Amino acid sequence: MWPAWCGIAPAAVRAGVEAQVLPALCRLAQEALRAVRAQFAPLLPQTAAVLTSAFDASPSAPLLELADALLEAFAGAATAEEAAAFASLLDTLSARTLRALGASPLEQPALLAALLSHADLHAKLLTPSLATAASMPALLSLAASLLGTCREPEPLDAAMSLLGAAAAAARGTAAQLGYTGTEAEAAAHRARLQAALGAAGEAVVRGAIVGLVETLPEPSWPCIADMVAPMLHLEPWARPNGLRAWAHAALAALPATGGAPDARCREALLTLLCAFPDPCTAAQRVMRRAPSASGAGMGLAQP
Amino acid sequence: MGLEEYCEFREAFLGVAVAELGRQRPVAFAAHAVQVLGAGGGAHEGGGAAGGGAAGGGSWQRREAALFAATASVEGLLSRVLAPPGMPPPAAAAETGTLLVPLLRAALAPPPAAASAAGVALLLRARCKLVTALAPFLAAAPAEHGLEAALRGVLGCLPHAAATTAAAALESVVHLSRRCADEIASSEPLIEALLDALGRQLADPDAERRAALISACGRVVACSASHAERFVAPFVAELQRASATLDGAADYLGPAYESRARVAAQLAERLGDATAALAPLRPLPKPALVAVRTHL
Repeated sequence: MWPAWCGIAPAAVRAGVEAQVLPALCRLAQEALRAVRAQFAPLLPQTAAVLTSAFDASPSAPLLELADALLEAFAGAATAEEAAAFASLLDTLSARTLRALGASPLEQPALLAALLSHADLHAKLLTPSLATAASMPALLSLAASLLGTCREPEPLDAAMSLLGAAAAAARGTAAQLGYTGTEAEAAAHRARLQAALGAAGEAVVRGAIVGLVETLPEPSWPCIADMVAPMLHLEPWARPNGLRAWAHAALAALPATGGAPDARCREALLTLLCAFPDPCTAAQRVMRRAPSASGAGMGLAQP
Repeated sequence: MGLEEYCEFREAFLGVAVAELGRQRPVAFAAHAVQVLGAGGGAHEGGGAAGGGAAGGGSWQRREAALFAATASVEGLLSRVLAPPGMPPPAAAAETGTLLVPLLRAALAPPPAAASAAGVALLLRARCKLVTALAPFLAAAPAEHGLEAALRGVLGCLPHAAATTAAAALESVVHLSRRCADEIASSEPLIEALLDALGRQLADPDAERRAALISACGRVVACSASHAERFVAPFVAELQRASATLDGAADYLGPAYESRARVAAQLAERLGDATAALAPLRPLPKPALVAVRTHL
């Protein structure tokens, strides 16, 4: 079946009917992957090659969803080399998608959401691949830019999920993130993620504040806290020109309607943001708690 | 009012009332149906019982109405026959259960020759509905309760010209594939019959119906160690053929997008069939896994 499968995508592109064929082709690959699980490994290189060449010709959400399925199937046992290969796949897909999205990413919400979801999956399942991908800063910057402008729920949810997952990865230890490599590698990856989140910090803070007031749909409000909380104590955010300055500027720029929010309210919000306790430190305290009867043997307690 | 509308109307309005009466007197409708259908002399289409021709007496209308009422009320009867998981059988379960086997056998008898085309369609539909309702009973003791005859009886109705009968047959096969997958998979003749029926139905132009039947067969094949190859092979062949057609399409169909789109739509359907075949194979046992893997 696979030789035929591999031939279909280029044939569909040549015939100009990829929009009709590729969704069904990708669904078939996802089912094949789920049916034979690890036995699919020998077919992975040729599948990835077909995926990238078809994506180059015609970037589409179903192809990104197939990339999700490949990552889900193989991230768990990925070696450093395989993580690098997945990082390269992310770079290839991102470069082509960003080119296709151009200056108006919101005009193709399905493609935008699929790209951000794919990057989010990297952050959650294979942190080294996201941390080492050349496209990571651009992806985080794109996600941050959506916060205050996007009203489409799917790309917005994907953007917040990616930023939150990247922030959690930037704060986690190697053990927490399931690294097979050394702590030094994990520290290098954390530093890269922190730098990118620092660069995107101003946009994240402005987008969150403006978005809460103007564009974010109500169901997304609680997600903002989950997303921002791990970032508040990142080293680049703690600098004098970091969180306090960004939040001050964003709050000052908020339009007042009938006198609200007034200066006292803006000041209170600023103080709350800057004095917010670090959830990652609290989590680490929980992780370090002495073993209890229920927690023992579950890998929760660390000496 | 068309056949389908009539059946839907009757089920929606009369079915509920009959079911309620059935809860009060669980045996009444089944016993009446056995009496009307004359189960004693019946010969089901799948073979196995002595005798030939249509069973029982009465007009086809009486027979069909009796089957409808028995099916609508059978849930109450089943609760008195089948034990909940981990519980002993209800009192008098065996005695009550003896009524269901002749009822099923009578439903599987060929329709009377005197019945009109619509009558045959309704009788066969009633048969399929009864088999669907009795799926838990068939799963409880497949050999004693007649799973083989029941499955063959509904497989024969799959290509029926009346859409409502064909739909009831498909629903029944899907239901049996969920309740009795292991039992069907462990019987060589049954799984062969199922795959033969699938082979005939692959030409069905309705993609949704095709996918439902393919997935039902996949569920059964997933419980078998030796049929995965036979099951997957036709889809591989179809896919290769459709792929080759598309490959040449850009050249021989030239710039006419409509022609290429038609070829693409056919290929997308074949891809959908192959996807429906693979979807239920997730819990594949190791030997079947290897067989499917070689086809990928």
